[in-house]
Amino acid sequence: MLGNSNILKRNNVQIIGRGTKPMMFAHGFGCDQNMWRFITPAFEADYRIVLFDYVGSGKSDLRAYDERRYGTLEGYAEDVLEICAALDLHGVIFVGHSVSSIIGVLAAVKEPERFERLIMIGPSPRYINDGQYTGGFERADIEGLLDMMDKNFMGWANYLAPVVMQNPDRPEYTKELEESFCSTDPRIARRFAEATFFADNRSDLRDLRIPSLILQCSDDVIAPLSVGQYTHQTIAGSEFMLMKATGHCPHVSHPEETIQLIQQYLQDSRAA
Amino acid sequence: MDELLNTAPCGFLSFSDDGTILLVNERLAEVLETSRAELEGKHIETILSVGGRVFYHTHFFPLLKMQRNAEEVYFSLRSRSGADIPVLTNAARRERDGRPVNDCIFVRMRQRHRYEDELLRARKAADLASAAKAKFLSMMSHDLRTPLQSISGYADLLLADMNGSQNTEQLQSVAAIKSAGKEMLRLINDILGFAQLESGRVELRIASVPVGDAFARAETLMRVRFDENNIRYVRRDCADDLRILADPDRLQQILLNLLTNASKFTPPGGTVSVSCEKVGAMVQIHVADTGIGIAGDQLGRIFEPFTQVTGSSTLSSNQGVGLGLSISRELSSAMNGELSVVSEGGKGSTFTITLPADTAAAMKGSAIAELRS
Repeated sequence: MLGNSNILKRNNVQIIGRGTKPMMFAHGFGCDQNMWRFITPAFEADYRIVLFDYVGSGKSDLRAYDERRYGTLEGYAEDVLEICAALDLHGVIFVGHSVSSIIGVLAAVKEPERFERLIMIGPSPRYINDGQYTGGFERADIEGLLDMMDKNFMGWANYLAPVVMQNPDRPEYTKELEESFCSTDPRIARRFAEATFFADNRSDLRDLRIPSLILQCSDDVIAPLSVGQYTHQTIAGSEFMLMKATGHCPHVSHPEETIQLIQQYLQDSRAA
Repeated sequence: MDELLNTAPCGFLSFSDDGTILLVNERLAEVLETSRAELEGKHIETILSVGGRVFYHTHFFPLLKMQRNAEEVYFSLRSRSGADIPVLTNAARRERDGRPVNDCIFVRMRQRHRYEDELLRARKAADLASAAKAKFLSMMSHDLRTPLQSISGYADLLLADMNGSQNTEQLQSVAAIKSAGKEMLRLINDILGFAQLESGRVELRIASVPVGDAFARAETLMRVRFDENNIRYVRRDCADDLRILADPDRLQQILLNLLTNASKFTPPGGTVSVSCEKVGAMVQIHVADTGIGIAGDQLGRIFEPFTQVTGSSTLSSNQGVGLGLSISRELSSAMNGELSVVSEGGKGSTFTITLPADTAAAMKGSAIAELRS
């Protein structure tokens, strides 16, 4: 196992805020901790905010990527737990977007003593339709997404080309990387997509014992309403809020509403 | 909308942060087999393939909002009849009428799409073949080593000739078996080493290594060989206190490979020399010979795996599988350095290992020297 400083370096852990209560924000598939930049300022006064990048995303240590470990979401949950251990965090309020909601569930099932609450934005325990269960996607749809990712890695899209950007012979690209948000390693991003979209974590929801909130967007094609409701019904004692925000990334598209609902939930839970 | 933009030979679309299409040009409507009036006011998802919708939410829009632009993004649009239309997109985020809007242009990619599909298929096939090859090499090397170790062990027992039952001729034969086994083990180790390097499974233990010590260690092993081949070995300029950051065993492996090659391709009476020098933050170690050299057309290929320099007459006894230099270069690179060569056919070769200097050790050394003075 890595030493604490190596874990923090591996996941590019950043700590901000003036409070003592730990609040951990976990980004979803497709970007990095930058995704939270519209949300975190609202919590800086009262919380100790922990931000990080999954291995392969943002400024994480790409050398730490292990195909076997990160072949499933459990590997990413291990990273979350290792970060908590490295910082000796307890009573964590974990805010996970999309796949990170499920990664949070896996981590909280394994070490419930670390977590106080889980706030899940657009969770889906399974994206692919399965019998009576409607995840919203057929396998061919996900293969279409993977194909699109492959083409973008080939097409040198400006945010998906760190292989070029890290080329020491082309310093202009390195500069571009420093200024680029959401940089990601193409090969790892593809495997993260596979681990995310082909996963089935429906049975894990039943094992969650931590109080939780599901923030469900209106008209979310990635995590449709029926999936949010399924998640809510399966997790005992979970709360459910339907947002006015549409799409799948309300923390980016509708930060004000996202902040307000999280604050309201935390306030209500304190009062209770 | 400006008539020029409306009829421009590319699609144009503007959408708000909630995904509503605000504006679209005639050209894009045409491609999507619909009309501007039908598109405007709809959600952008309605013109994207299912994979495209996911990509829009997870990559495209977050990036556009945070970085304010995105270039050369491959997207798959969906026409009214359900056909997927591959396009390349550039997008910029700006303020218009007091609110943020996201402007995109779309260029269809018919030929390029097919070509990229072919490239992707070829790359996937190559990746699979490469992984299968590495696995095969690794397994084969392991499986060959075990019986070979038995052969070597029994040959050792026979050579020890505890009861004196073997005659000289028999002992020579056993020695030949032992020697052939040793050579075979070296080849297998080369293949295994190469397979490990290719799969990135090599562990390095970087330490501060005095270059002089590395030379001395290699010389102990090479001296007999140079003497046997009647080759003069010379250690030229190399400061005593010069240290590099390297894995000592891997550095030794590279040095022995270069010195063995030098002895192999240098005719009797020739010279093999080593030297070192500090160049900026790096140290260069040169291994030079007065041998047959490498012709210009071969020079670019010698670091490729399974490559043997040909046309070198009797001196090239075709030993090895052509992995030594490839492994040495990979190892140099793994230790944050490089391996290069300068050569001319008939006039000898100089191989140069460049590795990071241990400047901390050098500074410490000079500080101690200053204190003493």
